[in-house]
Amino acid sequence: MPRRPFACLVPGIHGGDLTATSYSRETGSASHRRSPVSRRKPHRIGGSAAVLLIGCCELAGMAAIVWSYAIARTTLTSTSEFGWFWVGMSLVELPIAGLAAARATSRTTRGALLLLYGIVSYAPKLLRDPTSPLYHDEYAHWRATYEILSTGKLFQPNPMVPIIARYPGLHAATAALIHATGLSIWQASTLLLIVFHVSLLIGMAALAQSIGMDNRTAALVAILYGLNSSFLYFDTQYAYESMAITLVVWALVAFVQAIRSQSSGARIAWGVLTVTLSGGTVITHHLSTFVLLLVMVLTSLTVSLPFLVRDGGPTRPSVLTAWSVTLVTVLMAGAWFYFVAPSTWSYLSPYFGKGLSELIQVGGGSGGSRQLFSASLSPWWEQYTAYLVTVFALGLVAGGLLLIRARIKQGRLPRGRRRALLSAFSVWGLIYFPSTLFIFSPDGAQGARRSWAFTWIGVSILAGLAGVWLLEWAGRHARLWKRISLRTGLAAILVVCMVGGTAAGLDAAYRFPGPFLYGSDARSVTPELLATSAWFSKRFGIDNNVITDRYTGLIFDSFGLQNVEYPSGVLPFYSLYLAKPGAPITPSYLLPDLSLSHVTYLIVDERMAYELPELGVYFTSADPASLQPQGGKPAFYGRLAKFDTYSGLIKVYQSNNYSIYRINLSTIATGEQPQSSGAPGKHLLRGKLLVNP
Amino acid sequence: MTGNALYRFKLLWLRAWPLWTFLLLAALAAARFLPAGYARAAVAGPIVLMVPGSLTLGAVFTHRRRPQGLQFGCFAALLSVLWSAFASLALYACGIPIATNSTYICLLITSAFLAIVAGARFMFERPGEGRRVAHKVEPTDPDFSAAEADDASAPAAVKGVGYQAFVAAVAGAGLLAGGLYVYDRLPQPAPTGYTSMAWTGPHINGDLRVDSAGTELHFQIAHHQPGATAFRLTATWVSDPSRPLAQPVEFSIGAGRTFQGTVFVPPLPDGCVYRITVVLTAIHEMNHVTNALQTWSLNADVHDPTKPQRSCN
Repeated sequence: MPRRPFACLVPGIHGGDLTATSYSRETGSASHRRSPVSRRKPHRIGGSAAVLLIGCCELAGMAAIVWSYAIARTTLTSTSEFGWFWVGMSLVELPIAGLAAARATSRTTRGALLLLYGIVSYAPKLLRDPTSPLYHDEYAHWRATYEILSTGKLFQPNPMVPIIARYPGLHAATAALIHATGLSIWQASTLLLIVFHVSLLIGMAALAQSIGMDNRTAALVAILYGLNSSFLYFDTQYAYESMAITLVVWALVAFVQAIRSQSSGARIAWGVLTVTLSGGTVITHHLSTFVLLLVMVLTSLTVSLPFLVRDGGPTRPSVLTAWSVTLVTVLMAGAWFYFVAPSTWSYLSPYFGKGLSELIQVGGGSGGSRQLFSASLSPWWEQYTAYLVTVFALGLVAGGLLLIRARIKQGRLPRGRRRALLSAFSVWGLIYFPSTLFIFSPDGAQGARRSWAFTWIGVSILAGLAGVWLLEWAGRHARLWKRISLRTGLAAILVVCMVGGTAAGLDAAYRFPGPFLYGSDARSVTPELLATSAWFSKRFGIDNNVITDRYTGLIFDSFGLQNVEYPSGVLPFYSLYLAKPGAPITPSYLLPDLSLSHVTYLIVDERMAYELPELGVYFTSADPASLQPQGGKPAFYGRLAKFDTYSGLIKVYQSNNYSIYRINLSTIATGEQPQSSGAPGKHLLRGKLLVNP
Repeated sequence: MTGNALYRFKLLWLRAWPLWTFLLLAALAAARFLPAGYARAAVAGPIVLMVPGSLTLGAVFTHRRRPQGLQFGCFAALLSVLWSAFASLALYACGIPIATNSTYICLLITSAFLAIVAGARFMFERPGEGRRVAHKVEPTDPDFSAAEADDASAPAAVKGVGYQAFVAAVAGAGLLAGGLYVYDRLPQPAPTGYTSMAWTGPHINGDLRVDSAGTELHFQIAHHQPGATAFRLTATWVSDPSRPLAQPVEFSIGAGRTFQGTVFVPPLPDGCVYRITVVLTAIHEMNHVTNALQTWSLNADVHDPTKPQRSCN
């Protein structure tokens, strides 16, 4: 049987269009070969039956998700919570996705379904931390918002993540909502995050439509975007990127509309909207600003190229609009980076620079690569699906590109704004694949993960095209069982991508509740730690300079309102922990430097001496090799009790696991005795102990 | 309400919606009399999250070009959030503290300006009114097919806030709230208990002075564990070997109780600095990490500045 050209397999493409709208339009023409499905009248799903079915699935799905969390918080060894969770998520999301992708579904229903999808997909994060921050960055942003509320000023120093003090968009917005409503910080932030999360999904559909896709494809693009590794958890945390990514997507919607508008009034209106949203992005998040600029420049270039070579294509006003809006955004961003946040580049560059050099070393065989899922709590099948996501994404993106190519060959996608816009987002989406390599680099992995939420914008646009084609292809089979099998297969791919995408994004300790897990940001907060921090603040007030480990510091820094110092090459205070009892503390400048930093308290979690941290670090992600376990035991084993004997360190508090020492650095020494060689025992000085309820 | 009255109400709203929405924001001042929390949030939240953004869209776009439906809702919400952030920036730049009143007034001024622009635009753009007046069609983008242009200029997947969107929003919110409610009421593991011990009284910033009559140091023991626990309390002079400072005390503390303790330090023989330690031991409780009896301790350095330090080393 002779092979037909790829494009001929798709009635829509054969007729010359990519979208389902055009598919149905063109199959109405008698001049085209009709597939079995095109002869059938599109079936209308019984409204009430569909609503009932979706309602039941949503309820059952939510019940399964709740049950999975309930299992997780009571057991340590079971992995059944993973199964329950994904069954729940599939029940919640697949029916919505299926109905939104059905050809017979109306526009308004699709809009409503996307809205529902956006809201219910917030459930995992809402259930994870309904009452207080839990993730590392959430504590930092909570503190930043608290500072605005308590001081009435922006740009207050943030000890945990210093850079966020220069990007106050989210914190100022939360503070304003709190002023208006009287909600707590966490309640107001949850309300905002739900708005951002839902808007992000709807924004993806709006973006797809603004570059020329019909509403069915656009809905599918939005649903596919929801499979990226950050969608369920990372971009729903109380952090600046959760707000900024939504602003980026809507700024791009306005930007594309500005390029596409025919009248000058509309161009100006959309341009103003783009600049406003871009300005919001600039004051909110650094990386999102860079991404927005990159996509705007890329889009302006692709729109300009045909115009420059005088080969038809976009009109002059479109090109001018694109570059004008981009230039204004560049100027805004440049001014912000220069005048307000000059430390941005030094903060971001190591992620890329070190990541790239590590990757080159790995490629050259001279460096060790990061072992994926090395300390992960995820079951094996979640880990496998994480690898499959890239494979499926590659397949769908390749399919999307072939569909575009087929259309161009047939002259159905002439040079012009639409082709330019589609090309820009395609190129942007392709960046996802090389970025996945950075996951093997210890320093680049973090940056790679964060970039996926942005590059997936392009991936989902291409994958959406391929997805609609696959749905149509599956529907063209005459036999019912074959159609059902193929669609089930597509649903299975969707589930695999959902599972794998999420597993690739965040560790299970972040995603699921559970018993205390030493060295995990999200599962190391205990009533004991909270009470210790509360006691400290009540007793010594706020704004004390303290040194402690990462996990204790989370609470002391945020709820405790203390200034926690984090070790660095300049102030390597982990040496204080690491010093052998009786040995001098090195480097010699450490104590004077601590004194200069006005450090007044040392807080020690005694489990540091006995347990290995789940995240593999005690203080920061830049912990030196000397802190790595030695002989299976922590580097601090047998080295923490010495603090009881240091003169200059007074133990003022102890609970089961935490000890707090007042530091008097002017007298600190490392001897076993303070300043006296013995007790006045020979004089038989006897005191008295009294204890009263 | 009859259909005619509804139509009149709709017409009244459509004719001057920038004014009505601005008045809604202005009325927010009255919401402050509501108790802080969910009630006030239910009233004020939607206004703060929608009005400034809606007015922005009204000021920027003509009636025909203005985004519709869900797209309008999302733009309005995001722009409202941004205006509140921009308002804070403006206040900061002017040196005005960011507080409830200042933020509100700043948003009100911004919204008043936007409402005037939107109202002016609305008044000058009314060639006709009513349902029979044909819309002036935006020139078609030659790059896009008619269907796509229609889809894109009024995004269909996100167009039309009808009852379906409302039902979806209510259903989604209900699911979230229901899930949270059930999760909160499912059995939870008991929180891990702990006991703590801390100095009370004046802050210890260095060596403590002991005068000729001796001194008392105060501390507290908080027991946040289920059931009563038996403890032994000892006080020692730190030396090699350590020597007892006072007779040990044994006692039992019940769950959730806090005991106050006092250690009396006798007059010192000389002006040297001595370290004392108060140690609390749970008599029958093992520390599972260290495999030793669970202990807590506090220490302090004491000295008598009035006495000579000749023998100190």
